[in-house]
Amino acid sequence: MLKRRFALLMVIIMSLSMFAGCGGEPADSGGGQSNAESDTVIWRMRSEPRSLDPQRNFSSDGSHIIQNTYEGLYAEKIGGIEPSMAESYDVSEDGLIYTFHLREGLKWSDGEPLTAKDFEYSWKRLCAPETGATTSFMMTNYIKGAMEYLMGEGTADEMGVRALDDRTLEVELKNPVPYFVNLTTFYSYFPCRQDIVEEYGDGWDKNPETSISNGPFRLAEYQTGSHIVLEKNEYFWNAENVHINRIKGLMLGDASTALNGYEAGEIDVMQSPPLDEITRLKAEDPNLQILPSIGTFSINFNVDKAPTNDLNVRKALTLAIDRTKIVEQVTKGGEIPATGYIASAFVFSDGTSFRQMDENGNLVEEYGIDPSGAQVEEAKAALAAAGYPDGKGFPKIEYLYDTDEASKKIAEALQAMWKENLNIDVTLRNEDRSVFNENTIKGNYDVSKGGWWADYYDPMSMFDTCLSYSGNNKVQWRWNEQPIVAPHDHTLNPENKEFDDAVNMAQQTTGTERDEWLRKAEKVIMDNFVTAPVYYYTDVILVNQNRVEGVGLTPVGFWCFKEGRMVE
Amino acid sequence: MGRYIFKRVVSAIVTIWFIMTLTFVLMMNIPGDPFTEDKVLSPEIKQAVYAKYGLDKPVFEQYITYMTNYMTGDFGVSFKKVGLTTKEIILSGFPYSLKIGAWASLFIIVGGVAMGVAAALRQNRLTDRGVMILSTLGATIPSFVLASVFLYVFSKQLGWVPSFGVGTWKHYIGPILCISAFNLAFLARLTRTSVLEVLQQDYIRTARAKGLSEFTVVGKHVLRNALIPVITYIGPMIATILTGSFVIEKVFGIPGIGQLFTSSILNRDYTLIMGITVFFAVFLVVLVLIVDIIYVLIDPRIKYD
Amino acid sequence: MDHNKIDSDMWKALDEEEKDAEKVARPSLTYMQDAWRRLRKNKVAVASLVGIILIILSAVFVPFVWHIGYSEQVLDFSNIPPVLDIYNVGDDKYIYVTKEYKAIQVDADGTLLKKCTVLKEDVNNRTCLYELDGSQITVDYSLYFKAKSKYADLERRAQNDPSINLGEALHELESTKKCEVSVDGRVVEPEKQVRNKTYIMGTDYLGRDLFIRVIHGARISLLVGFAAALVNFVIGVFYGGISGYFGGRVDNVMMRICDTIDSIPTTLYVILFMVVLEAGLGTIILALSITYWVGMARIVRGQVLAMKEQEFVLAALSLGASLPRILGRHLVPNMMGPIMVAITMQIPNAIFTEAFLSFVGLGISAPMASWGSLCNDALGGLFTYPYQLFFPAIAISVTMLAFNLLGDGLRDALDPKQRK
Repeated sequence: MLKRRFALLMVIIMSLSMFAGCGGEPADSGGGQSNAESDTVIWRMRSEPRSLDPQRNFSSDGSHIIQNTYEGLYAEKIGGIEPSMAESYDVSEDGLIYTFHLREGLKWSDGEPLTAKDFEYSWKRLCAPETGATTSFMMTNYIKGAMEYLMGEGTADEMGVRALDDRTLEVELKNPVPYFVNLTTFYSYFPCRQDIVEEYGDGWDKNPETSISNGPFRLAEYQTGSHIVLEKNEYFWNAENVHINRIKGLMLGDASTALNGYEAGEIDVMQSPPLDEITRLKAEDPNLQILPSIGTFSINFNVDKAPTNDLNVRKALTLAIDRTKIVEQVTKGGEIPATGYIASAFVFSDGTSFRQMDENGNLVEEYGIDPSGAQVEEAKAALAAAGYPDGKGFPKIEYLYDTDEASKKIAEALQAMWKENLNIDVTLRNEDRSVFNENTIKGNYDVSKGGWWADYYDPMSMFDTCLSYSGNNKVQWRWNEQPIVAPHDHTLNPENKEFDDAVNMAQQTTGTERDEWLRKAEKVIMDNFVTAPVYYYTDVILVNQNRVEGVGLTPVGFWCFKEGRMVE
Repeated sequence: MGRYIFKRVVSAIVTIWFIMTLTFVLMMNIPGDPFTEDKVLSPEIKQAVYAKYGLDKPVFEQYITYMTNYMTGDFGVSFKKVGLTTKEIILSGFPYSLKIGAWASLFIIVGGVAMGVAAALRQNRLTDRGVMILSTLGATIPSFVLASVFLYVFSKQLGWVPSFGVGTWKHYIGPILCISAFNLAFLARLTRTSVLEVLQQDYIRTARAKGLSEFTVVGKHVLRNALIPVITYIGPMIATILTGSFVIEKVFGIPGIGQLFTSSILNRDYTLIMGITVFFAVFLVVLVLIVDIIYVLIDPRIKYD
Repeated sequence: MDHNKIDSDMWKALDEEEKDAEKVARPSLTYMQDAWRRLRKNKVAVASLVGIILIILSAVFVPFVWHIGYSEQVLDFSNIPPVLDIYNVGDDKYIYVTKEYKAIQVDADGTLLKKCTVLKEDVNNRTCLYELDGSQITVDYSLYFKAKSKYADLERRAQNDPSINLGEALHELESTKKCEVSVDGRVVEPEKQVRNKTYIMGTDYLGRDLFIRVIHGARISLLVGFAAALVNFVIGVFYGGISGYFGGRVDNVMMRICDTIDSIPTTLYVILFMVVLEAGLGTIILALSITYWVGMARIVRGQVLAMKEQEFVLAALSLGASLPRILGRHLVPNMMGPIMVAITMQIPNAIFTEAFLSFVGLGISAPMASWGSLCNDALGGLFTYPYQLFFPAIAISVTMLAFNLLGDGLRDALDPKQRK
């Protein structure tokens, strides 16, 4: 009985699988090089994009795609930014009114004309409360009336963006924003098609039929969990200078597998190989590039909780880190040991780096942090000043990190450094990303992995982590109660007001005056040791120059294919 | 007859209901939520998003909504893969896992039973030793190590198979082998043990004494009895294999359903977690149900009270 | 020859054993004694048992005596393999050049001394200048890079020019040295190969001793394995025994529950449990236990069903034996064979599942190590540092092998049917 029943089961399963083999599977999917793909760039993305809708996306995988299928008024390219949909703009005297002049004859990827009204629609869509756009802060912080519209206190008509005619877009800001043009290169500022959004609703962005875009490429295929295909958009304003016809993006999560595929010639373009292979690749592979990124890996201290509520404890922990060892022996991706919170890739208004360097371009000591090694003596002195000479009596604290190869390795290295240099015991606690984020936001930790990437190319984007009114203030450093973003935080830290004020001033000033306020804001963070910068991120990319050239990352760190070319 | 089928269907439905409820309870107790990200949502946005997906309602109400939606065949939309329905996502991933799983099952059963029987019949001889060593080795290496080493040797060093993805039959060799190793080994051992046990029974001695050919003895008497514990094991095993292996799919870069499920849990993509569990449950329960019913139809000896 | 004369030395007391020479009996042994007697005869099983005991003992005691702790790290000595190719740089001083092209001073016998001082690192030209007691050492790792660039260039031209022989070029590339070491301008070759005296199994990515980490991993992995198997065994025997013994409606309901649980992919439920409960070793054991007992219960039930109608059970029943006695005394010993096979597979199963959890990122917390997490950590650098995978993988394999062989031996020994 059992046997026959089982045989029957097997027959059913086998026939099902045959059926699946015939019907359910696209003929060409996943990896494997075939001749048909010789004109296709094979690009390894990491995971499935959350959304390809410019206003709805907020995952990095989605943004890499959107940055190549759409363009804003201005657009990023590998070396900087360039005018895209707009050919020029005027700014009013007070820096509050921007008037963008769009190019003539702009078209969507289906050939329909693209006008300033499309921008007006999309920008208002971003701030409409019913959209639930998670990146709306990119606009509500700057454009007049946007926050009020989002909060339901104002209407769309009161929002400061107006299409004066088909080719003129006027934007009214709350404060002068010197980097506003940079903002327009961010995906939330990209246009989308009103008729499509309204007719097809959720999911229009992932359906090649309805995914109408205005960038160098358009979505031609979307296989969930497997891959996407982008094809050149013939209606792109600069289409004659786009030489790549087809890009296949693979949703391939495992870094080792991806590297294996790259080395076997099955992947042309990828990012972030496994840490332990980077040194070998650096030495051997001409295709490896290490690019500075605009972000800082730092360690967050919970300033509300003993013992890290003691400035001296934070100072001791900060100074006891050997930054050079961490970047050379642990992360290995050519990261730069940090001497301050703002990464060296950021610049002041005169174009010089935010960080001080010696004649060889190496960072020099700032804020008492020597990038080349741990300052054991100072650290010990600080710990003694806090009442724990030689680590005696220091309570057990926990270092919280999320599930990630680099996070784990850094955590282990830090634990050993603190033990060796300060003689204190730190236990490690690993949580998966979702729980980790929740706990750090609510301040349920002692010391945790921090780290922040700027959303746009300006130091201001980095300061979101310490503003009293920001939910991203994971260090819980607030001078006033914030019942909406942080109902849990009742322990106040008066020093934070100085920081808030400095940022506020930086938002209202320009030029060197603004530089001073930015510097001042950073100084408050550093003097209070609320977060310990460890290194500045880099992007490690592999581009098979035998197959494709001119492909790389933009300053903000998005893949950019429009200047690329297949090697004949 | 009708009564029997009715009873089976009812019990299948109860099973599925139980699984859904259990999954729902576990799911609601997972710390973290689908919209917690590296960069925090503003409270207003979070509220809007919660309302959009009905997550602001009381838990029991959400439970009722899930149940009624599922009854009408509405699996809902994914939270994390915005714009895709759970059904679309499952149906895109399942064929790959099914294909690998079905071939692996076939490979395991045919290979495992054959190896086990061969080993038992040649107990303590070369075949037996060979099978035992092979099967022991297969069971001693974790699948992700096996898969990585397989790729290292056959893809990187020798270049015989592609390094990832799906497409040609070559892509499937690695996943099928690696997913099979452990169970193949176990099945071979189990079969061997079981056959050895049966061989000692008196009725085998009787059969031999009757002068039956060795072939008949083994084929008719030994196998029939020896395979019962084997089959008991195979059922759940197939279930596990068909549902895809996260490890194998991840290492070999296969867009299957095993990866989907694991990532849906880690992402807290509630609708997808629920959808996949229910899909599996229905798939297996219905499969077994169909088999049972067909079996009753074709075999009059079975009583169906 | 005098037949009547009896040699005096024939007159002596018989040995105790010989007295019983006619007796057709053997000493009365308890069931366990008997099993033990038979197990001892099985050399493979004994060897496996000794092996397992050794592994357990070393897991328990070695960390107390070993000179390095499992979480102690020397970042300068990260990723150093167990076997070193060392260069003689004069005056009986030796250096080892790591896969990352860092020079480390070593003894002639393979003891690591210190990292050489970097004088100048030229990343663009792929050379690094070190200083060691007055002599300057240059590590030039640009050769392979140049050869590879050249090859890549050739490969590109070959797409249009069929006359280019790529095979030869590839061969040339593969025979290119990865780095060249020169002392004060004089090129030196590796002098000899020595074993790493400081770290017998080499170090991991943070310069921790791999040996003690493998030992520590044994602690965790074995603990998880044994604990999970034990819980499974208890639940399985209890549940399966009751279900099989009572049969009928009870059996029906209990097996329906098993069917239901079987309809859920177990590994996935383990993940769900792991995420719901607080991370930790206890959670891992708990998650494994509550999801894996069904198999054991089924085996026990099947055996009980098959056996309960047999005469010896009937005999015990008619003698008035209670249910626990029948289960424990008669049924369980008789089905020890299949149970032992299942247990010996369940320990590896649990160890594997723990390894899987490490792979997903839900395993034990750093800096602790299990075999699974060690294997997983090694995967990222597999191409460059295969030894980091080799040792923990071998540890798993040897242990599994021992368990399997011991299981086989136990099955034979515990099987009452073989009690001859």
